[in-house]
Amino acid sequence: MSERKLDPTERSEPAAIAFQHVVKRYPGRDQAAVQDLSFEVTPGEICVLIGPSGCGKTTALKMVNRLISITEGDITIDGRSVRELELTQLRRGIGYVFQQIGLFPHLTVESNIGAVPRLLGWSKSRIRDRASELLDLVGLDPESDLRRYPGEFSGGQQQRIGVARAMAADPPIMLMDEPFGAIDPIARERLQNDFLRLHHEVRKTVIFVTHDIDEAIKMGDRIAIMRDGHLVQLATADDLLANPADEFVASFVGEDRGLKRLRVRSLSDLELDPPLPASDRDHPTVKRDTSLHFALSKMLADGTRQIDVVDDRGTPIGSVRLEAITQLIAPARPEAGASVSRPEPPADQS
Amino acid sequence: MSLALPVLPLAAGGPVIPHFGGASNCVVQNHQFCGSWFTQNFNTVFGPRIVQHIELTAIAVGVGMAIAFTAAIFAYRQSWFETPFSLFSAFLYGIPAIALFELLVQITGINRLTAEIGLVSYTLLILFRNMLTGLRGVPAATIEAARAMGFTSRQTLVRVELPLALPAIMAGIRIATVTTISLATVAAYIGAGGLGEPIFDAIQSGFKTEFIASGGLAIALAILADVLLVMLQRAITPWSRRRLQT
Repeated sequence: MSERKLDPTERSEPAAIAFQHVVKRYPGRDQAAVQDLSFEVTPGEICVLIGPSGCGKTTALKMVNRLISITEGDITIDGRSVRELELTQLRRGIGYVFQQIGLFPHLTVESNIGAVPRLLGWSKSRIRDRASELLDLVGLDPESDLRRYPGEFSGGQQQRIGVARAMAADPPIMLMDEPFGAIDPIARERLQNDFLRLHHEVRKTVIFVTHDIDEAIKMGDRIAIMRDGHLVQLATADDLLANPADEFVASFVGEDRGLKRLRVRSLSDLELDPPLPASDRDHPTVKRDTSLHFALSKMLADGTRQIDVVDDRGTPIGSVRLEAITQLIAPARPEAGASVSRPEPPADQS
Repeated sequence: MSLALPVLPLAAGGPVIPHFGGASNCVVQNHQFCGSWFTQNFNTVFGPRIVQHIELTAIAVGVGMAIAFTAAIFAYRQSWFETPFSLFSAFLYGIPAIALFELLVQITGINRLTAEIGLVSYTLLILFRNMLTGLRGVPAATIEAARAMGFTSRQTLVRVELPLALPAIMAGIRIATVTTISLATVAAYIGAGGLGEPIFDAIQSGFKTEFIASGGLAIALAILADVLLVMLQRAITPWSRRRLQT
């Protein structure tokens, strides 16, 4: 997780996107779909737009590549207004992934991935190399899959191809509109993980629209909550869960936001206690970068109140107590003393 | 078409004097089908007529395609155009063939041009409808993807919309071709040549072999054309048969 691999696919630098008082009004409708939206997406981050349906999140996303026109205000990419860029040029520099996937059913996977490179005039061999490279990157097999047609793949695989296609010309920006929304839960989870890994290797500035708060928490470096065309709160997942700006945000992120917060924090955020005595070693162990949520569920499943934390080779480097985790669920209480106060010894000695 | 009519004089039987060939017993007695007469006269009577028939059909479908194609693309972009063109082509399609040819002869005379105008007007409805249906059937998501990737509207049409409309377009071409092959026999009535010519001859003379041979060749031509078009369609739409096996 920590080491950043420099991938040969990394060619363009991620770009900064800035919304500046953006308004979208549709003729014949009183209320603007997007009202005075201003925020910045920093280069290389995944910024999630979330909110109830009709909140304007997809409209906001589609104004970046001007699939929807901007009524007032401006959006800039690295300081350049999207309104001034030539439309096709703007779009060829922005990867676009959406729920309906929209692969070209009459073209092979190779030609699908090569669509934008072909518009840009790449040579055939360069397109083929790029398509193989990307297919490998998204977890498909270049040997067998390049010459197949989209109809021969499952929904999850098709969206992998969709992601590869969006990244083909190495755009500095990717727009993702509920990309995994129509995919079954197991495949969705794998796609999310793979995309995070991919994003770690090949940094892009990503705007990611979803209506699923758990997905937002998992994917977003920062999360922008929208309502009725307004931006309500823009914060990291941890911040959002700990300090929701108002009642709406609090209810939107869910009553169990304390529990959800455990997903975004790892054991490395906590001070560890000394490892358990060797006699207790038959308990499960967790790694240092494990999420608190996972550590908690391990403890609950095992019926223990303290669990050993190990390094990559499995050597214990400390332990963590149940209370150190559960007290984070109630963020109102002071966190100080978490690792100081001594609880009773582990009750269960199985 | 009123090809049932000539059966009556034929069924009446009786020896007739055919104007082709010598005097084989089969021909003199006007049996149902004289194979030797057919093979002997194939090159002189039928060969050139088949070529003419193919020409008549190919020109009619080709010109019909060009008109219907332009109209369908225009109607795809400007939907108001669909209704008037549909009504116009349906009106043409509704006119009985003989009546239309008679009508056209008043204007353009007895020649191949007249026949082609008639044949083209019968292809328009089918070709236009199928082409428009095919274009409208292209998934919105696919078009959105193309736009979002920076395809111009022309590139979207040529590289995405038309290829995806191909199965429907090809289906239209198949129906139009088969229909035209059949209708083109009637066009011999106004001197267009083709396999209709020996059919009309046989109606006049009552010579059964000639009637059956030319009719059978027209049917065979229609079936052959359809088979070739199916093969063409498969060759140019390889994606449509490859699906996920579950």
